[in-house]
Amino acid sequence: MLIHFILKDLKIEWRSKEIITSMFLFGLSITLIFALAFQVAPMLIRTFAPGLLWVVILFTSVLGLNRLFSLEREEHAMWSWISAPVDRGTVYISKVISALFFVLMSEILFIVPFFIFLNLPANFSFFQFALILFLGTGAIVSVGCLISGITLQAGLRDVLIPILLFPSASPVAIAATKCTESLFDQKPMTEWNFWFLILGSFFVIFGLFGYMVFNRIVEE
Amino acid sequence: MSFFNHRNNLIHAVIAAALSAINIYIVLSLEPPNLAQGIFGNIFYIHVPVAWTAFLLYLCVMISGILFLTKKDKVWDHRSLAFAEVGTIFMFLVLTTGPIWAKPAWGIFWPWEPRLTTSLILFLIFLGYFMLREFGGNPEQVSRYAAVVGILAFLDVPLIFLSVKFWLPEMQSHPQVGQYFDSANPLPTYLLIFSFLSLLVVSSLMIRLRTNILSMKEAN
Amino acid sequence: MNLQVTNLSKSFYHSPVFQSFSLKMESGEKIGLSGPNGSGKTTLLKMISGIMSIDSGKIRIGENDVNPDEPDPRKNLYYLGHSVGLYPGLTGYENLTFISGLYGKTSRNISNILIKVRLDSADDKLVKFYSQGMLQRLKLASAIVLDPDILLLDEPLTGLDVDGIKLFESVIVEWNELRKTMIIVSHDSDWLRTNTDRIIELK
Repeated sequence: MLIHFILKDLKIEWRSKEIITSMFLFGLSITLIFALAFQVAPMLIRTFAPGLLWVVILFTSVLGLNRLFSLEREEHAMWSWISAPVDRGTVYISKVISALFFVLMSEILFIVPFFIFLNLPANFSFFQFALILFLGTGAIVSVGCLISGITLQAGLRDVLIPILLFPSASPVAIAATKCTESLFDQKPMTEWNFWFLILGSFFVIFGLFGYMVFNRIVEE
Repeated sequence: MSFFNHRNNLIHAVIAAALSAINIYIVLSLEPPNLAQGIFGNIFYIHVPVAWTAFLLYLCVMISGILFLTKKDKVWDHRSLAFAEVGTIFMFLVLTTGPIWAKPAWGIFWPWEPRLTTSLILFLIFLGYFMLREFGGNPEQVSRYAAVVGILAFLDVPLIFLSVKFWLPEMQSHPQVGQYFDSANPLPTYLLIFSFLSLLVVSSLMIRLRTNILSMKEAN
Repeated sequence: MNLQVTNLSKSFYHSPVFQSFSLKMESGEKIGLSGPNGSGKTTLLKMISGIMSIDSGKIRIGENDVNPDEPDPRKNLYYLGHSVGLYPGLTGYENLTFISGLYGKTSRNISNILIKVRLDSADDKLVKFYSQGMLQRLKLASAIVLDPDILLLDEPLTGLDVDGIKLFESVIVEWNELRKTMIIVSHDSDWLRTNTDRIIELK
């Protein structure tokens, strides 16, 4: 059932390429603004870069989550599975996986311009960087999908998603920035595995919570 | 007001007023531990109990949210909203007394200290909560959404606190707290407890009044 | 399959739409639901199908109570609503494949059913390009694919041309022979009188 839902989202996105494209272009635009606004000594930008990266990821995630859930709102498509004999928690998990995939894809696309425009060296473990991106993004979308589900049928939903998501995801912003900062400074993973644990805990706690309550928030 | 026509409620109000008056008198007349801070040093006896009360009320939002989702009884939704409103008023007081105390104590209005920062983030989440209550749509649906956000907010507290605590290790909790406590003098401890208990009486009155108003509105 | 609604209550914006409403349907019974706009016809169908929550009361399908935590009772029920309820970014065929997968009916021959509802020429066209009549036929195709015991049909003739109405009526005859339980909402009282066993008027 999980694969069924994920394949549906992937199929729609494969045709339109709307979500990944808009997130990539939005991420690129923010990166450009940061590069222009923070055009100071290169060493200073390198200090700020981890934080800036996660600001870009947070902002683009909001866009992606909004579009992903809008697919369910258009023509009330969600009624097809709300009235079906389907565990709605499974739908939540499928949305988390789909959102994680789409946001990661857009990150892969704007990470290179990000490093180029901010003149950042890339002398660190790409595997560890990928791990941080995966867990940090997963933590953001776990709470993001829950909030998107809550605001799915709400008025002012475009505004409510960032208003609720940004403060809720502040531990992710801090922990992900710390992990990235330590990685860029080439510190061994043992020195920053506490922050990794924070990200993992956030992902698990809100993933489980979302799974438990999703059936109560999608009904009209 | 019909709420205060009931004898018990009137007695509650009189006790709350009396305890508050005594509390304020003590704070204003007590000699501050550090004369350089002047009267602002005694804000500690307001700030800390107000913070405890605010967090306790937000915990009650979470508990009443869980009870509303499981029992589907509207009374728990009214209580949840009352706890959230009163809790946010108290949290606003935390965020105002904090800087008032911080400036003479540390020389800056806003130290990114873990508890104060956690309070700020929680306050922002609850501002989003009230926006959701106002603009979320059908009140029956919104009650469920608000319950979920109330639970989400408090689940986030330990993660927010831990991440902020280790984010800026040099900015640890209230370094000047120690100046208030002396093993030979139990008075500061008693004053804190008295202040906290009086605030519980005041906040419980506010919550009972608000719940009463909400129930009457629903009945009409 | 039996359908039973007991003491159902529901409010919107603090105004009660249903107060202690009860309904009992035997297996194979066809009920027409009529009433003015805002009387709660669609709301009732949405509550039975699980799209909308109930404030209090019970809904029972066969031997099982319907509640959001137990999806199983909904496997014998299908709601054909006002709104499209389909993904605009998928084709008609893909939508039917998706929906049949939700109900575990993956062995159904979707191509034949699309031929039956005369949408075979449009099966690779995205639903967002469908006309109103085509959408209604596709929703009818969903109901045929799923073959549930209980059908909740909300103004099923909307948007259908003369051929579409004849098609729909022939499908209702087939469902009648299979003793399916149906609730049909329509503003056409004459049609309801001809095609249902009894009519409930909501006020």
